[in-house]
Amino acid sequence: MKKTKLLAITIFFLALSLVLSGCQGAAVANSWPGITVDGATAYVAYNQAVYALDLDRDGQLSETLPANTSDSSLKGALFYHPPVLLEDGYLLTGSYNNKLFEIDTQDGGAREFFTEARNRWIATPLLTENRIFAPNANGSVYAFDLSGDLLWEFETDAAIWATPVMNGSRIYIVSQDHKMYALNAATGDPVWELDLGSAAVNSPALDADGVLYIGTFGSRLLAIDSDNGSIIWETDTLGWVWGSPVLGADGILYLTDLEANLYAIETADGNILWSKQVDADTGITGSALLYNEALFVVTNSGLIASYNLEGERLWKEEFASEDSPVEFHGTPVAAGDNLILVSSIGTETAVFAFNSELETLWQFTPDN
Amino acid sequence: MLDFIINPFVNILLYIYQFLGAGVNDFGWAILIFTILIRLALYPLTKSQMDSAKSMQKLNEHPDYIKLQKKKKEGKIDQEKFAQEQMELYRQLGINPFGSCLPTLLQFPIIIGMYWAVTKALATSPLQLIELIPEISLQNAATLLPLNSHFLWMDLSQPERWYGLADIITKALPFLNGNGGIPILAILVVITSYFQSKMMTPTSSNPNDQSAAMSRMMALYVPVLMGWISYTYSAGLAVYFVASNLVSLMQYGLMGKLDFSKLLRRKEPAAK
Repeated sequence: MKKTKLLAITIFFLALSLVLSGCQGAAVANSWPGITVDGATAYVAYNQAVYALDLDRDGQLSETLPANTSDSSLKGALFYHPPVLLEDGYLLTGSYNNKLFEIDTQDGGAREFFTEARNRWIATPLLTENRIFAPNANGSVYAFDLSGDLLWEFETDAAIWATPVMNGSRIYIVSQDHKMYALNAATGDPVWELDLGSAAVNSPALDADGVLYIGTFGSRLLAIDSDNGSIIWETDTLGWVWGSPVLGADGILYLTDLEANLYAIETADGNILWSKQVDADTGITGSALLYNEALFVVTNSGLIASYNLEGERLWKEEFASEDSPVEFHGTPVAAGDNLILVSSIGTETAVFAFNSELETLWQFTPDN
Repeated sequence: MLDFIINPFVNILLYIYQFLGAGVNDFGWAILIFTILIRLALYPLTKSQMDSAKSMQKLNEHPDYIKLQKKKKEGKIDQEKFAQEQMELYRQLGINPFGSCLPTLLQFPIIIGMYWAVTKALATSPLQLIELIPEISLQNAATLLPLNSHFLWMDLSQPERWYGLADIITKALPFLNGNGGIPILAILVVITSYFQSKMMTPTSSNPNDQSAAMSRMMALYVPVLMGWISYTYSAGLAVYFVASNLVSLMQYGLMGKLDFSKLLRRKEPAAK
């Protein structure tokens, strides 16, 4: 009878654990792969590892980083944002175990760069000539010198998922507390702040005239004077905006939204020149890639499409099916001559590689 | 699987959050208010479960049932005969054998749904937020998201730790490597879960009562499991667990069924 009781209790707790954990395994993605390209190598941050892919050999895996995953500091480490390439072959990458790591691409060794933040590292840090500005989901931006010494911390009231933008002596950050902040890059002192009306989860674009462009969850694109934080113009979009605006030539910027629309908008006054719905019943979480005089966009329903700068569709490929629920997220990444990399989730494949005609060149599937 | 429960729950949580002003602490209060509402809605089931458990306790202490169990233990009757006579006793005493487990089964999806609704609404990663956005039916969702996850000293989206004594703890216990936060909510979850299990488990003086033995084991295991979940997962869940346990205890108290002597009693007195 004791054995039966023990068995019953074990089954109960196993069932409860499965229900509470959503019947999911340990490697379930919290985000999509983040891709950084350095010459002939693409670094793909996804779940427990950063994969180095050889672009000269059809994306073959050349290295899995960090080399020693049993290191206690890596417990619970999950990597998603595009890694930052430091000098001397190091990658700076934040993790979902609240630690910021420096990984040696030569020997795969991982070193804790900063461990005092108490939330996830979702945004890609900004690397400048002599500073690193790293936003954390605890709502703080941390400034470091290149040796890793903390210079200052600036706190906002909500998570920051967006990489800061720098202009001269200032950095500009958007927080999910609905605000954009201009900070003195040397001291972290606030210069101005602006209420955007709703949250923004991606970086603003900054043009040569010092105008910042930011899309928000309030289905709005704002042009902001980086000097004083005043709004120059606002334009409504059809859906919530997740991706960053992309600046093109001739005073035009390109924007996507969560209703899967692609827009061309005049930077002078916010006039929408054209808009196209890329796909129905889905969204676009990345920005458009402006590459070879064309725009490339991917949707959450596994579609990739390209448009010319007049808004006419050039190519379209769909990858999702009932058996293979491919989702594309993030911004397509240009990786050299006629090569575009796209982050994928929903199946085991993490990266799709296309040429400009959207022919699939290769795919990368991590071992685990 | 439980989206038909989780998504309405997410929207109700957001509605309460919006009603409270969508500011600091408000999502914590929204969890507390919704937990109380859920517990009130489940009150008829809870009462039925408690009444049924009490009836089962009476059965276990009934002389005829004790005799019946003794006969079975001594091999004087087989399982089939035991089941027949047990059913006859159920009939005589007016007991529904499923009266205790059916309310539990009905509550289970709601409790799990609440657990997932809190997790989903907090949306702490990009994919979670993308999955959340289409499910929100409130008109001004764009101004509500992301939720302000600060509540008292906690970030509801993170495992709860109180760092008020972190410096002292870190000095005393250097191997903690600076992680000297105290998991106050997880401790509260363990205590309130233990109280709830002990208070709500009917006593039995029948030494052959298997269900009572099982209940005693559960009274130890469940608080540990709940404590571990609260220690590991976001503080929003721990707030829900503590509130849910406290409301259950209050309901039990209002029914006049709180017996604090159960907390100290280590073993049930044997039948004479």
